[in-house]
Amino acid sequence: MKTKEKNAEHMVQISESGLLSLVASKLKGRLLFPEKVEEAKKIFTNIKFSEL
Amino acid sequence: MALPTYQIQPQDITDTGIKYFFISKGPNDVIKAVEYFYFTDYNDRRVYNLGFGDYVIEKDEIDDRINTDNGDAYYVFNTVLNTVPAFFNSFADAAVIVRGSDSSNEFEEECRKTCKRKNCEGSCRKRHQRIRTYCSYVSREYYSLTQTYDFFGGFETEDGTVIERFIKNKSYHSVLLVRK
Repeated sequence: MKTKEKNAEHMVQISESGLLSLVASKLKGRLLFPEKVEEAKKIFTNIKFSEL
Repeated sequence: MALPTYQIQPQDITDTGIKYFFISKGPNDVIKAVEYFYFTDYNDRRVYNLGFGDYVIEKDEIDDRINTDNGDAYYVFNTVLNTVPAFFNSFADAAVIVRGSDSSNEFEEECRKTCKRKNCEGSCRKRHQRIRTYCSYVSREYYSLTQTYDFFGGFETEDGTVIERFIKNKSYHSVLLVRK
């Protein structure tokens, strides 16, 4: 069976920390979980603290 | 004993919160993101939502509903827990709310469409599964964790969410924590 060939010319090597920094820069300033934040806001608009 | 974890990398620290990234290692390398995001004030504390999910390269977005199944759930869970003390080192007077991405009504509706279990007629067994994992952990490690943190459990009622001091082994829909 033939293995899939990859064109190494178009690939670059990057360290793990470099990769995470790259992803972080792409996501910088973005809210990642908007739905969760909206749900959390709703919870706090009608929250009651029960003292035991 | 130190828990096995991945190394976390804090990024994008602002007044509104902080993000952490790490790579899950298994059959695939998966980039994970943890975000603490400020959304309201409560009892003189700034409250942050803890969100956690996978970075999907093709879509350039985070998916918090995906079940990665990368064979390292224990490592990943410990790593998310590791971000908590790191977060409070930067935001000492904050409060953090944790909810599972499977706790919403929408999750249950979606789950029922493909559900094969016959015993889920009353309530969806998969709903709240993720927050149950957090609650079990807090219950199990209650003594050591409460040396540093105060925990509160939240449960939904028809009149809104009720928060109480965390009771070990009780099920909650959300967990709120503050550093002492």
